[in-house]
Order: sequence, then C-alpha cells, then structure tokens
Amino acid sequence: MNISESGSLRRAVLMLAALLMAGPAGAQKLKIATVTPEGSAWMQDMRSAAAEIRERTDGQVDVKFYGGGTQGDDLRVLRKIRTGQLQGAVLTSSALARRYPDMLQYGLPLLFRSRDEMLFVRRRYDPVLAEGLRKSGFESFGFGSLGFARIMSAEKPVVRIEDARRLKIWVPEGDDIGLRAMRSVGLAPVQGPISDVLTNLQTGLVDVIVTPPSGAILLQWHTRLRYVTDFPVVFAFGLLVMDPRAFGRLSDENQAIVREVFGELAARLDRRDAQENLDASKALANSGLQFLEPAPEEVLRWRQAFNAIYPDLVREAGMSRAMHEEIVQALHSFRGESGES
Amino acid sequence: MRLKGLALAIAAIGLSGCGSLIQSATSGLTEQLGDAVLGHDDPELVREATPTLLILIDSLAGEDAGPGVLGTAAQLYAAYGVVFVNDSDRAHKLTDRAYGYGRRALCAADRAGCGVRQLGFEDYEVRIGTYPAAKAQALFDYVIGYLAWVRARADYEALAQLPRVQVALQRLLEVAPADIRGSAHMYMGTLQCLRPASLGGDPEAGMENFEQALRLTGRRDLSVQVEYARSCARLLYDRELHDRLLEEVLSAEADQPGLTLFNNLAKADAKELLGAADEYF
Repeated sequence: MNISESGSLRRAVLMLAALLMAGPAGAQKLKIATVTPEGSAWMQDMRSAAAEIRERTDGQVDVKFYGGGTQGDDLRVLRKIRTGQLQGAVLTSSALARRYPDMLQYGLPLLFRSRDEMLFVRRRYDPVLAEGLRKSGFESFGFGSLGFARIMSAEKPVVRIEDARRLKIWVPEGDDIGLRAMRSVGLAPVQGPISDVLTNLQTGLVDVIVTPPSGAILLQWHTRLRYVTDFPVVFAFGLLVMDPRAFGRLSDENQAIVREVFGELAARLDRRDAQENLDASKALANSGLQFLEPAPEEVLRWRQAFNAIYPDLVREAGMSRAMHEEIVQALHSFRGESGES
Repeated sequence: MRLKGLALAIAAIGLSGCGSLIQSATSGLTEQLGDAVLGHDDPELVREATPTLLILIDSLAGEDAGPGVLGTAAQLYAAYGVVFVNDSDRAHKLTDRAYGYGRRALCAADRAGCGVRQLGFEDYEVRIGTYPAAKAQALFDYVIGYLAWVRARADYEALAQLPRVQVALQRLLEVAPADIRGSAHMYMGTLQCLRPASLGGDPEAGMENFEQALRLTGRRDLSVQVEYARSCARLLYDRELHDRLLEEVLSAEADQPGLTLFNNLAKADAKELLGAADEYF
C-alpha cells in the first residue's frame, strides 16, 4: 500500500468514524419512567419496543425506559416531565387525574361488575379519554390494564360491608378518590406509601388492602394476608404518556413509528392482565390465602353503598358529570342486552 | 461451593461400583476429581458430561439416602437445570428435582426441616429461623434447589415463594460458615435489589450484602461481581458501578481453585451485560 492509498484510507476511516459518531449524537433521546419492576414481563416488552423503535428509525430515536420507580413517585415524575428531564412515563390514572380529572371515570369503586363490562365501556371511551388527555398536555398511546383490585385482609375476613367498617384500610398516597370514597361509605382508610404496607400489615397499622392479585405477589404482601374477598372492586390501569413538546420534535415519519410501536406495546400489556391475575390468584390460593365469595345480596349492598356516593365523588374530583352518566347508561344497556340486571 | 454437587458426582464416577462411595467423598481422590471439574475451563465439556452424573446421583439418592447425597443431588440438578438447559420444560423438570432433593436434604439433616412446604408463612419463619446451625450445609442445599426452581419458572407461583427463600437465606447469614455465607450474601443481595425502596425493596441493604459477599469470596468468585452489576447496579441505574464491576470480571483471572468453570461463565455474562449497557442506561 503506498502512502497516498494509506492517506485516503485514513480519511475514509475518519469519515466513517464521524458518521458513526453522528448517529448517537444526533439521536433524539426519549427518557421514559415507570414503576414497573425490572425483569418483569412488562419491562421486557418495553425494552423490545425501545429496540424496535431504534431499529426502525435507524437510530434516530433512542428510547430509554427507567424502570423500578427509580425516577421517583408519580408527582416527581410529572415534575420532571414538565422541566424536560423526562420525556414520558407510564403513569397511573390517579397521577394523570391531577391534570385531567376524567382519568378517574373508570376508577369509581364497583363501577364494573365484570371484565366484559369494563371492555365494553373502554371500547367506546378510551379514545374519548385519550383526546381529553391530549388537550390536557399528554400524548398517550393506549391504556394498559392492571386488572381488578380486590379486598384482601390480614386477620379478619371481610364479607359484609360492616366487616370492613371495623378495620383499617390502606389507600395509596395520591389516590384521593379512593380516600374520599372509603370515608364517604363510613370506612376507615389509612393513607400511606407503598413501601410501608408490608410492615404496616405486620404490625397491625393496616388490616385491609385493595389491590389486584398480581400486585399482592409482586410486592410480597401475600405473606401477611389471609383472605381475599372475591369480587371486582376497582379497575386499575396505567398509561404510557409523553410530553407533546418532545413528541412534536420527532419527524412525522418517526412520530408514526413511535405511535405504532407504543400502541402495540400498550395493547399487548392490556391483553396480558387477565391471564396474569388468574395466575396470581392461583398462586395466592396455593400460598394459603382463603378466597371468600360473598352472597349476591351482600355484593349488592356493597354496590349500593358506593353507587350512592358517585355524584359526590364525580363533583369533588372535578370529573365530567355528563360523561359519568353516559358511562353508567352504557353499562345499564349492556347489562340489559346480556340479560343481567 | 455451588458446584459441590459436581465434585461429589465426579467422585461417584471415579469410584463407581463401590457402595460407600459417597462416604469417600471427602477423600483426597474426590477432592482431586472435584477440583478437576470445578477447575475446568470448558463449560461445554461439563455440560455434556453432567447428564450422566445426574442419572448416577438419582441411583444413589434412594429412600435411605443421607443429607450429603441428597444435598449433592439438589446442587447438581440446580446447576445443570439453570445454567445449561435452555428448554423451559426441561428446566422445569430438572429444577423440580433440585427443589425436591433440597427439601429431602433439609429433612434428612434435621427433623425441624421436615414438612416445611406445608407450613403457613409465619410457622415457616419460626421453623427455618431456628433450624440448627450445625446443619447449615443442608439448609444451603435446600436454598440452592429452591432458588433454581424459582429461577426456572419466574411466574407468579415462583415469585410468591421468594419471601420463603429469603427467610432461609437470613438464617444462613446468621449461622453458616464463611464459605456458605459468601454465596448467601450474594443471593440475599439479589433479592433485595429486585425492587426499589419505593416499592418495598431494600437496595441499600442489597449493596451491603454484595460488599460482604465480595469480602468473603476475596473477589475470586466472579459471579458475585456479575450478579451485583446485574441486580443492584442496574436497579439503581449506577452505570459507573455496573461497568467497573464487569470490567473487573473481564480482566480478572478466571482460573481459581474450584471456581474456574463458573468464572468462565461469569466472564461470558459480563461481556454480554457490558455489550447491552448502552441500551439499558
């Protein structure tokens, strides 16, 4: 190889290096926070979605998921999105309700009696809520169901609503509608952080929690629980949302790719919850928890107690009354069509 | 320590035909043969050889088998099921055996270890929390079988068992000799770094446990550094710690008495984790 060849080779190498360096430096970084634990199926799906986006945008969009709640609680994450430290997050409906109260529409206690009812209502209202969220400053990519929370108790079985009146019921920090709802029907809620629940169950500061079965196992609360009251209490879900400013900075083509991949991700997470909670319920039963099935008339009494306070909850939380009434009406007609009362 | 099973099983082959071969397990010959496997630098060769040893150990672990044989069987099935088998159905079957042998070892070593699977969590805590210190080896064999069973599944059924594994590890940290404690600290650290503090995990304690594990193993067991990076450093998004631990593994000497095989596997893991670090952090 002569000197001139070697020189052009060196130039070519330098150019190639410059091109390679330009890739990551020019890439738009999307930092997304979630409390989803590392190693979980959700997290694996999120990382594959990030890899797919990176590949399909030729490295122009670099999505990083920060799992396990390392970016702080919902409030802190919202603050970081506002200041541009994060570009998005997977958030619970209660966190998003601070900006858009109608995110609580699905979360009224005992609104849905079954998964079918929930799916029926969501088919019609998910797009409405997504549009409302967009107007409130969040680009969203689909709802991810966490399943129905159930009442679980440490020492005493809870079947009738009166059983719960004598017990201390944990409500997560930030879940203001849960707190209001419990108080309004004469229950004794205790609000506190997730990290304290296990100890509080152990020491008797908390007697009852309301959580999907998967949550009880992932957070290891099942070791201090004895009973599961087996009817759906509250529908829990999370949403992948992004700061529209960050999303708007992507090219149209890249926006379409991100929307498609995140949309598929949310749909996959959404489909998975039913099986996950079935598996988790089985694991709870195998761990010795007793499943209690209240008689239909007892469930009806629970329902009546909560139904009676919906108007107050809707007003106090700042939700749209019209939307609430439409949803209730839709449920009535669904029950009529499917032969339920 | 984790491959004590392999060492004993190799000893069994070396002495095949002899009824009392396991009693001879501590003889000089056994140690030499065990070291030959543990000190082997070709994981592939060990992978191919191990099934023969599994069949052999099954034949030795009859009804009247003692805790030594049973514990060996638990360790051997655990190591093979988790490290060398990719097919999940097979991994389930093999780690079922690992866990089964572990429970039998726990019971054979002391009556306090019998029927623990049927106990409610609080009774289990009491029973395992007072398991005799002198029988720590059987408790450790049980933990290894249990962990392999959980790891091969990683479903809700398995996740629900983690607090029970943690109780047994806690007991080992209280009473086991230093070589077992090195591993127990590592596993405890891994469990404590599964969740952040906000979700009830305890990464601070997890890191302390890994530091203890590093001290007790003299940093020669490279799987400690790899697990430290994989669990705590990643959970806390501490890239500096993550990369430092893994670089240490890559530049360390894999050839250590009784650790060469696993150290080579650790080096391969470290390379993979470092390669994927840009995607993660």
